[in-house]
Amino acid sequence: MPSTIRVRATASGERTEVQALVQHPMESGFVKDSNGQTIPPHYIEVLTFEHDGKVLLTAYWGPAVSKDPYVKFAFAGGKKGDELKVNWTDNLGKSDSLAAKIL
Amino acid sequence: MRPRSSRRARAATLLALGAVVATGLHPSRAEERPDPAADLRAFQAHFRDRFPQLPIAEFANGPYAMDAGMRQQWEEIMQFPPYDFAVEEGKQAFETPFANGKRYADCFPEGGTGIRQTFPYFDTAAGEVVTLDLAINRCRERNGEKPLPYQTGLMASITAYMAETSRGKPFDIRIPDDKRALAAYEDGKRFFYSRRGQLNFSCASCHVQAAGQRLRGDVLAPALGILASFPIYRSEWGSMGTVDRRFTSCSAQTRSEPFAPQDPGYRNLEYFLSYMSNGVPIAGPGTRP
Amino acid sequence: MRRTWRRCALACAGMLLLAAGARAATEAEAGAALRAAEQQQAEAARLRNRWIPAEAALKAAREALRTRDYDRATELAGRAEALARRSVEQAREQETAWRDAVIR
Repeated sequence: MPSTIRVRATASGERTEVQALVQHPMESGFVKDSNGQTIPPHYIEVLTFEHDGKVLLTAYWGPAVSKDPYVKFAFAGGKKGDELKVNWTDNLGKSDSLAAKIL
Repeated sequence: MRPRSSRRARAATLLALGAVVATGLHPSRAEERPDPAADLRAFQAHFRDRFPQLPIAEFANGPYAMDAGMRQQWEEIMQFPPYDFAVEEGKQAFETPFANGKRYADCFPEGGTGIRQTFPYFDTAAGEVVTLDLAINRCRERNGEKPLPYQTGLMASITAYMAETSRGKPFDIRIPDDKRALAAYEDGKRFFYSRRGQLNFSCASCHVQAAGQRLRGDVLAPALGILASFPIYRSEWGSMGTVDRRFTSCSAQTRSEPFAPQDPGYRNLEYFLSYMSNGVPIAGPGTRP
Repeated sequence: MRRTWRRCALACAGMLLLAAGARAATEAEAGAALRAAEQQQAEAARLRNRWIPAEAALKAAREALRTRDYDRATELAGRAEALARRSVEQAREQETAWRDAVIR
């Protein structure tokens, strides 16, 4: 099973820019299918990025975030070759994580 | 109301008159012998004149070649192309053997790599146009697998992977010297230029006459190179779609009852459009708004 | 202003008269209207040029006939027939007209 997370982090000087894409249906629970049945809610609740044992960013996501969400941020510090950990957990208790090297 | 017969007679006279005038002016116009090579020259010259600053390869990028703002957004999106997940799924499916041990690679020349630009082709044995999607399903059926649905899902993922291995290779569609091939080409051409549906639009109304202009929030892609980026991840769909999905929704948008996917009518249209795009490099899979 | 009012009143009176003159459609009339629409739509299908709204109206007309709403069935069948007829005309016209749009 391929990972649901794509991440690219690039260090330049004092700053590291991080971009990530997560594959997830992000069902709000308000949408009906073609048979008129409500599609049950299924969305990411928490997304975290860790670097050097420290949480860089915690995103509390919910039903209003789009399908296959994309996130981009930058932080001070981080250098080439450092490890960056990404993790998400959804409302059904499913989760996925990925460790990527900073470029 | 005027009786039908007299109206018809009048129409016939007019038609006959028209034919006389037309044959007088353009000896080739009324009963034209298909000449795909001449059509291609005129078609590409039209778009060159219309968008003189665009190199031919740019036509593969459709609306992003037309509008600077959209291009900027697209470049941002391409940092993480939304079709990436599909390409990965497609690659995996492509490399997984069927129950009988054979693979997709066994069905295609060059092991199925770098061949997207040669589809669709005219199969002179069967006397019909074969698209990549159809070839994939025939490959599955020959190997005892169920055919895939055409518009989205795994079919889009497999064609996405096969397109990715063919990026940069210019469309290389041939029309063999075969009456049936010419007829298929001509049928696709007729469909492209025929007005259909309650809104009375032809493919050309949007993708020739209004190419590069806005249709509400969208920018209409020029017909030249329009299939080079398929399959596409369309933000509007929130998923991948094949050429069939695009043709089907184009039909529906003009309030015309769509054909079934891979209907000979749609295959012939794909044949015509791809042939017209000879020289435009494959850029698929693509993303569209 | 006054003229507008007068015109409006006249139009209203006209509509009332028309409404009084109209009578409910019978099952036979609705059935005939539906057959006429189906015939046009079959021709459109033969020419491979069915219109989505024609098919939708036809479907709704069949449903109205099934629920014995003959007025509605007749009206919808009439609409379907008109749309289907236009789609047939479009297909016939485009048999030759498409050539004028070809880039040459």
